[in-house]
Amino acid sequence: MLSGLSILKKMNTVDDNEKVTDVHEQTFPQTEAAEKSFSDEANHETPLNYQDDTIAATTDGSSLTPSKEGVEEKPKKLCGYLYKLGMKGPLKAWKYRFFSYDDMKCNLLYYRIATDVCALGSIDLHAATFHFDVEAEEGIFEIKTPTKPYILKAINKHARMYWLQQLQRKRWEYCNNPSKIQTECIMSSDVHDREGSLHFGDGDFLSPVTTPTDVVGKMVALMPAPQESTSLQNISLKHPWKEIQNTVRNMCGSKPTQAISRSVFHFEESEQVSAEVTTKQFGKMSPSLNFARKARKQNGGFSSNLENISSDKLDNPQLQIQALTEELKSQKDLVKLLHRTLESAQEEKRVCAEYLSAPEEKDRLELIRHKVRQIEDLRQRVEVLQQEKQDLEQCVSLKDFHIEELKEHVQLLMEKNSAKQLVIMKQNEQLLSQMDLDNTTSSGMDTLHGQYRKIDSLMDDINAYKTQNRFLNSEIHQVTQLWRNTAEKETALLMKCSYIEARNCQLESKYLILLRKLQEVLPYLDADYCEVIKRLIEDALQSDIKTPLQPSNVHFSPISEYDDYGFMIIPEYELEHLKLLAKIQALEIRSNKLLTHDVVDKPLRIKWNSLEELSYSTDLKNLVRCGIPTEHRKRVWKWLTCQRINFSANHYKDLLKKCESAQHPATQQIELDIHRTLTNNKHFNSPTSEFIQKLRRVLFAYSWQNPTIGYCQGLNRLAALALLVLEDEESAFYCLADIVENIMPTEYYSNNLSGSQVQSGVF
Amino acid sequence: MAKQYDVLFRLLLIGDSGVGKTCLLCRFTDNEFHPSHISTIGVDFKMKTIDVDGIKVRIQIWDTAGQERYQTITKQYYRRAQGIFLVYDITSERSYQHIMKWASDVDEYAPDGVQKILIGNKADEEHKRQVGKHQGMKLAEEYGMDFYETSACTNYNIKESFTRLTELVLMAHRKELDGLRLASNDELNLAELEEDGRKADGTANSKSCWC
Repeated sequence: MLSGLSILKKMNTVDDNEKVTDVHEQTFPQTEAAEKSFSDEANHETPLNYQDDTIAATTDGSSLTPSKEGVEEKPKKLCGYLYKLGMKGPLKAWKYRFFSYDDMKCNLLYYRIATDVCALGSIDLHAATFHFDVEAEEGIFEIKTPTKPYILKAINKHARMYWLQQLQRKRWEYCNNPSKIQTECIMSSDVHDREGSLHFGDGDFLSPVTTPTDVVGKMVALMPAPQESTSLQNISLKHPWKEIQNTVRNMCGSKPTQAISRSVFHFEESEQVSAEVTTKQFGKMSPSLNFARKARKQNGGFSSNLENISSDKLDNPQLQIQALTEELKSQKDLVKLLHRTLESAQEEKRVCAEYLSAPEEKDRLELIRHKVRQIEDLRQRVEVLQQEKQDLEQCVSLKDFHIEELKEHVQLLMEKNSAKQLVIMKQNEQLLSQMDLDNTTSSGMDTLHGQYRKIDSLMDDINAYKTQNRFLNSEIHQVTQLWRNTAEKETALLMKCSYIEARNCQLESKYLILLRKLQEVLPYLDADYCEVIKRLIEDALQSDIKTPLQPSNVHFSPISEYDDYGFMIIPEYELEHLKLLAKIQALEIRSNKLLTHDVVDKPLRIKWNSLEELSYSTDLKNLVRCGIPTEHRKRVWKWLTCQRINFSANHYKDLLKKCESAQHPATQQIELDIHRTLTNNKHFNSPTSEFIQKLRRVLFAYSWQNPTIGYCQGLNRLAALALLVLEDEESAFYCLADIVENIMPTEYYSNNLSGSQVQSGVF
Repeated sequence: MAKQYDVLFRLLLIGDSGVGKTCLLCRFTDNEFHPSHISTIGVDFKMKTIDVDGIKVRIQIWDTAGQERYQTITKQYYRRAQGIFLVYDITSERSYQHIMKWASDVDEYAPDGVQKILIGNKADEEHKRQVGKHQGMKLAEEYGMDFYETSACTNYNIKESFTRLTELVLMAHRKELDGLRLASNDELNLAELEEDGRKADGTANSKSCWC
């Protein structure tokens, strides 16, 4: 135990080292670190915990992945969550289960959740058929095993098709796995060869469905069951014990994900999966990221607003500045004005100064004149300007008038416009009303739309049915192939069985022969030997030959007292010492029958079965000379008779009528012989038997068919045999007539049997 | 191993169809009775060894078809018979009437020294009787034959009748038998017997009283 533990530990450490190297190749540095910490943790575990963990991990591994090799060879492990309809009990509810396919037993195991150790149950797939209904709820499909149907539900159509196809594939793989069949039958090699050449022929019907990775596969197993909140509903009432086991196991693990990641097999895998999960989560997180970005944008907008607000606050001094500048401007204007007045005042002052400074009167006068002229000039200018002003005023009034005019015009146009608008409005209304009318008339259009929608839905239905059809075709195809394979195996086994039986019969008959020999010399032996031999004989007789075996196949009918035509096979010896002989005979007959059945009869039977229409040919002749198999005898006899005998359709009935009206002298002899015909045949040994009545009618009819022969002892037997083979009495009658009149020599059955006497004389 | 018999005789069963010849034979040889035998076609035979006065007699009993047209064939067997059973059915007047025809056939075809015995079979079916016992006896007397009413069904008079005919045949051939015995104490051989029988025809004839 201890050494085992240490080995386990060693293995684990080695694996851990490998893991570390593997991890170096990984591209995720953070997971690497995590792994390292995990492995460290694992190394520091106490041995007891360690053991517990490894066991838990390996059992987990068996439920998720069959083996390490399995992981490498079959990357796709068929497992995932499905809904299962509870069949038993009053609660018929969908239960969420984790399904996992077991390659070894061709079972579909289901667990409450993926991390469970003990399966709640299993579905045996190797003899199951799959089916889904289009009209049912989406994703529902059915697995019918010989014992019980299971109704499962995948989350969508795609997942359902995936599941069905995978299950088919698994069943096919399992059923055609040659290692499973351990039959050493004679034909088995052929069968296997053919199996080898058979492939999973699904492509004809359905193209393989892509794996819906989000609902099936190992990764799903690691994801928490989505319906944890309603897990109470999922608790299996049927399997309380397993439920408890699972929960206890989970609790013991206490860190199930850790347990898995710590496990030898799942380190890499979980890593990958976690990576996938993280990417997945990233994918899922992207909208939230977007939201964040959006939020940031909004924030940006906000900040600019804030800037605006602050700038608003800054605007106040600017306004002050403007006001001040305006003030400044007005002040400047004022200054300019003051400057001008100052200038004019200075001019006046200068002129006054000039006048005052003029030394002479004349100059002063001159100056005054000059000023007057200046005043005169200025007065003229003022007049001109006034004129100008008047003109401008006139012009202004003219313009005003013009404006008035224009205003009126505008008013007019406005009115016009409003009128036009009114018209437009009216027309619009009219149009609308017309549109309404159109709509009312096009209420048919609505129904048309409805029909279009209906057509669409119908098209959908058609597509669904088509897929269903294709699936069912593939199902039928596969199931028939499986059936065919099984049938072949069965026949091979049966053949072997018959060989063995035949050998057994031979041995037994030899043994009995020996016993009989001993019995013959019994009187000459010692009393002791006599006793022993007697007892042996008694034992041999007691073991009933009629029920040694109950062969399942109809071809090997159980040993019957009667053969195909109802003749007793085993002669009835009354005397004690002959009973052994009878048994020997019976066993020999049986052994012959069993041995010839396959070697001789089978090829002949195949040839016979291939004969569709009978016509004269050397082939048929050769076949007939090998003996006509029982099942074809009727047809061939009938055909042969018809070739030679040509009676009118009512010939037989007419003869029967004649029998009623007149009695042939042979009638008495016929009556005597009817009950003495084939007395060892079960159809003829009862006086009330239908065959007896038929025989009577046939013989009576024949007595009138050929009154010179009438009836000859022995014809009863021919007629009886014809009846046994042909069953129909009219055909039997024609057969009898054919034999007597065409096949046998003339006069063979005549009044003095001259023909038969000649024959016995010659041979 | 000692030879299983001393002498071999051929006996012949004749009579109408369905009187029970085959049943008589089966009852005698196998001590079996089947209510329904198949009708005999042509001829059939069975053998039995019986002990008569210390002589192991192997008797070969030939069973013949009763239908009239088979007589052309059965007649050929008369010639080689040492004893003949003429069988009729007491429930069938017709079969009784036909005995005369059978007897005349025997006269015609059988060897002269042949022993005959008249059998009225089906004696168990008293309720269906058509031929009285006295009628049978009368007829037998007429032909100088022994008469037995038998029943194969109840095993009545079967052994007696067969033994009786054997004895008659033995008596008829006693002389040759004795002669042979004295000569070589050896068993009779059929061929020898036949030859002797033919030679001794005359004597046997003269000895017998019925002709």
